[in-house]
Amino acid sequence: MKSPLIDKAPPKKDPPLSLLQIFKQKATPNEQKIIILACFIVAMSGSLLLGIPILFKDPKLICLSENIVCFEDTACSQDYNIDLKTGPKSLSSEFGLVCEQKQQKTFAITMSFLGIFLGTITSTFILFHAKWRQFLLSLASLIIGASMLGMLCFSDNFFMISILIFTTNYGFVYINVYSYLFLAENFKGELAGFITIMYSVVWGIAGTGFAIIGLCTNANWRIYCAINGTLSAIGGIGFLIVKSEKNYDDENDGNKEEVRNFLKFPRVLIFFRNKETKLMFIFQRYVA
Amino acid sequence: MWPNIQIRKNFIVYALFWGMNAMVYSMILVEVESLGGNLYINCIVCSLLELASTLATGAITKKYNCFVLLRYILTLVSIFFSIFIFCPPNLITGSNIQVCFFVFCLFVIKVICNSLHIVTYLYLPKAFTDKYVGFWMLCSRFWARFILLLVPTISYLMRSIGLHPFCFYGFCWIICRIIFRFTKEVQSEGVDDLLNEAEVNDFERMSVLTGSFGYGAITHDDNLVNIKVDGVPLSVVRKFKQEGGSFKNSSEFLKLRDSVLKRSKVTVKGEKMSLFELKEKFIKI
Repeated sequence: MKSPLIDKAPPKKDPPLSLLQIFKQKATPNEQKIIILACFIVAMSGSLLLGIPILFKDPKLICLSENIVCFEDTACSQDYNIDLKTGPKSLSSEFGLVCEQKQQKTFAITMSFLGIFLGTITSTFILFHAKWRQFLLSLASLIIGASMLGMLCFSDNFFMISILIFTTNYGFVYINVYSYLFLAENFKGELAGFITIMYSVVWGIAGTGFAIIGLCTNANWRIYCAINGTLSAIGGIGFLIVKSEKNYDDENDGNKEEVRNFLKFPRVLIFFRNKETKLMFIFQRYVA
Repeated sequence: MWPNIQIRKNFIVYALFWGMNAMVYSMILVEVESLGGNLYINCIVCSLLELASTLATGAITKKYNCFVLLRYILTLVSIFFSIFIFCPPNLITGSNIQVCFFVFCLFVIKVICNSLHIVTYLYLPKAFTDKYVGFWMLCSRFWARFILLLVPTISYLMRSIGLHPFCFYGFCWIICRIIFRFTKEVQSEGVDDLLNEAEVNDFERMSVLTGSFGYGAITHDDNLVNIKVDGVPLSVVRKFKQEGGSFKNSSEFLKLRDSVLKRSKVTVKGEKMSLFELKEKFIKI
């Protein structure tokens, strides 16, 4: 099968470009804006997930019998007080999520994972509509921004805060999925690889940045949410304004076909069309 | 469509792993608070590990077979997590050793996650991946996300009976490692070899390995189409190499042949042209 012509003309290898060179040379100015904004909203979206330990940092407990700082195990068996002045100003401190109240913390974290689960399901069903992708990315970022800022408005109601944690992570999943789809549709080759790496880089930078904010503000959840919410909202608006160069009306779009294939089975669950029902039967027979 | 029983076994095992992996990864993020050392430094390390693991997966899979790599990593993780089953909690809780352990685990788990995506595509035959990859990914994604819901409850229940939450995951990893014995390398040639042969650079490689495999919605060919070897998409080259005999007179074969012809220049009566152009002229005449 091997053609002698293949060996005759070995391809010339271009010298590898640095990250900055790829960004400058391979992307148009408009694409550069899109890349920066996409990285920005990806970074902001993950900061709640990474920030859960900071938002729920254990409070500083003072055992009233001896008036000294004590651990939770000791404090729960006697009267205790939560030191909000010198201790962390996290959600756990403010709402006293220790001892018997700790279940509320479990509830809030479960709500955040429930947001991820439901977000995964719903995002899958909207995946097919490529034209909406940029809009959905912006919308998800705005949902995160609104939820984080909304947490400040309902700062005396822990149940509402749990619901808003749910919506934040719901938006996070959309960004998580669509950012990669958007990347695959709009950028190719080296540039796509560069953005993939940049997603990880900005994720790391944002996590580090918010950890430093937590450190400087003594885990103050209000400041954390205010900064994260505002930046997410700005990112969402910015991403809505910048226009993608991709023409989604192109019928020869290979990715569209791939996404359509990907969505064959979700449609099975809804419509049970003949063809898909047959495939489902195969699945049930051989796997289930 | 379902060539042999081994494919079906692999399918189930990889799906189980994905869920398990997602559960442990999220649990570590939640449990960062209960680690020893400084909470903020732990958070910084956790966020930076994302980048480190992505780069490491790219570098490691370039040199080693993903399937074998996964097998060794799983053994390693099973052994490490077993420490939590057999050691008394007082020995390991709140120490610096625990912090290092968690950091190591998080890194390894991310590498497993990335490798798992690659293995899924490399070792499931093309016919299988083309038709069922969407469904497979969908099941795994839903399963992985669903199992996350149990993380806070498991941590809470394990702590309430006086055990470290990692004891539960220790058992799970050991079971996973045992189950992994039932999987076999179904196909030896994969994207790895092709990427090496095609001499794609690290960024393009990263695009294939993480962009394509990481998030499930896009199949491998989508990115391979973007990478061209001698002007022909890597997806075609891959197919050509795997199913060479079946490509005679097919459009892909003609495409590959034309690409070679286009690249080969000849001089005819002082005019420099490609073999392709020469062929076109010849046909017209």
